[in-house]
Amino acid sequence: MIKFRNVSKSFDGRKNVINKLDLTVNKGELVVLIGESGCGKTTTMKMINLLVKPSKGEILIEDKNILNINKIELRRNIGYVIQKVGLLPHMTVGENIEIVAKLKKWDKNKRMERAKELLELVELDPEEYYERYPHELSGGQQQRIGIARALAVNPDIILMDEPFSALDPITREKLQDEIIRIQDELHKTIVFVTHDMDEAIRIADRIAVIDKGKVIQYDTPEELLRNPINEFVEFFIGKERLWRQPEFVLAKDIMKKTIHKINLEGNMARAVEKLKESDATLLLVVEKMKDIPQKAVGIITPNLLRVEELKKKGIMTKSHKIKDYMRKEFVSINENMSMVEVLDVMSKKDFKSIPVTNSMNEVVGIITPKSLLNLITEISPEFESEKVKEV
Amino acid sequence: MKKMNFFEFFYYRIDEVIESLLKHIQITGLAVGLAILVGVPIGIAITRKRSMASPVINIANVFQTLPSLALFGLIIPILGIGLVPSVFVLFLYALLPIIKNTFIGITSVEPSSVEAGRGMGMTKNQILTMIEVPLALPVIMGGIRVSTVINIGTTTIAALIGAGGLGEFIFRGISMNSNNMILTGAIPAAGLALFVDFIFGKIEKRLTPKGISK
Repeated sequence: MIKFRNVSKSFDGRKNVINKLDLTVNKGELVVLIGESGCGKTTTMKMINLLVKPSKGEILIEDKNILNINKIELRRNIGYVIQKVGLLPHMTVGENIEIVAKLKKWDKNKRMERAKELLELVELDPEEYYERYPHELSGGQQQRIGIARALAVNPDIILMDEPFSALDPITREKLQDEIIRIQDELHKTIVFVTHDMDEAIRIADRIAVIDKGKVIQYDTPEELLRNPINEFVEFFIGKERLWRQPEFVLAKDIMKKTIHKINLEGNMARAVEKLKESDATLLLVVEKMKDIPQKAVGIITPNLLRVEELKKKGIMTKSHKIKDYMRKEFVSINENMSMVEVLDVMSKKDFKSIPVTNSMNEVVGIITPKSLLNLITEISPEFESEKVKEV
Repeated sequence: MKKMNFFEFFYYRIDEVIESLLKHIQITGLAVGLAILVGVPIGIAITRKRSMASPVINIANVFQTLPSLALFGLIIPILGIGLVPSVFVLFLYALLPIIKNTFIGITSVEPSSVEAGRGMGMTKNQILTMIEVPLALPVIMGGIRVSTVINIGTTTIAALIGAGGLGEFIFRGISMNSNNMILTGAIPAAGLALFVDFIFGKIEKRLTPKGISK
């Protein structure tokens, strides 16, 4: 566990680059520090291995103040990956991976074995790459070696300073997947600095948004997207971000909370009337007329009415009891289902209105094709709607 | 006596030429060797304390720009004549390219390499010996090469203050008005310079780490 307590840093003794920063990174967690350039995210990260010395406050690793640990020892026990990779050009791939192990005086065979094991972990063939020189490798391969090097002596903590920002988008995504995979396997405590929100959302367990040397919001990607704490965070995330991450939009975010209900004891003529006057697409049949959430015993839809009317060859009257005609088995959506799944369900059901239920199986709302439409207009960029107006 | 052509003249004095050549190598070798021992550490030191870099390089520059003839003259009242003052003056001459190239070599090492080293927990000395010096070595070696080649030429002038070496033939030739005598000193000196340049070029290539020789 890494703990920042009230940490400040000033390079010139006047202006604080880091300002009373508090942050806790749990063991096995991948935390992304994100912010605009100059916000202090890299400085924050570099204080963990004392490449930058904090001016005030304390940083604890496993409850030990890092200032009481030998700086060199500390760094050898923390993996470090940098943007420019920093492979030493005069050493082979193998030698590069083995540097820290060599500094720690591991014997040659153990070092080599470990290096080859790590090459396999980052999906480079040890036979082919061990003896190669960095300049013979592509940028993506070099950063794979950079990651392998950081893992060499199996440190608990790994710091990554914008490791993928110099790579092309395709390679970057591949390496992000790689990090996710490696993290699933190894459960390291990783502090990852980036300015790329897409990257942060993809890989992070938690994201710390940093501005002016302070943590503005520290939350899971989902929470950050759904509940940005202030305008800065919202702006930084970008409004359309939610649209690009439909898996974070949940059914409960888009559902309508007003539902038209009808009592189980009622008759079908009343149902027809109710559907007409409210322009509703679905009636919930309940045992007691009270506010949601509550259990539904069935549903009535205009479609159902039509079918029944055709069967009867006549209109529904007061003598037709609801409990005889309602549909008892109906599809519902759990409120925590993501928009992607919701769309899937709806497309299978021909985009009809679907009730949303909570974990107790009580109906809490309804999703209609209209609510989807509303969502799209709400999150699509503003200039789009203006174009429509002009036309 | 029949006038000898150059080859006969040269062959006639071959023992003397070889002796002078060895002396010449000895003087240059001493001067450059000392300059390496002093210049490389100075070059490294001024990369650590950047504010010192330009004063130090400027001082070394001054020695380089002073006419060597004048410097040899000026040293006589202080160190007298013979081997010691000659080596000393030649050492001053050899210093600049070595300091300068060491400085340039080390400062042009990729900052990311140094940062990676620091981040991995290398001590300052380890960064120097494992990263900076190996990567700067070709440039440092280039400085030594230039310095040596220039020095071989300048060493001929050291004969003026009694250091010996191939320069003696040249000065004797000038005073005797004998071209053959001048050439007997000049040609081996030029040959030595070319030879050393060639050999050092090979060494430079050898010292260039495999990974950075494209």
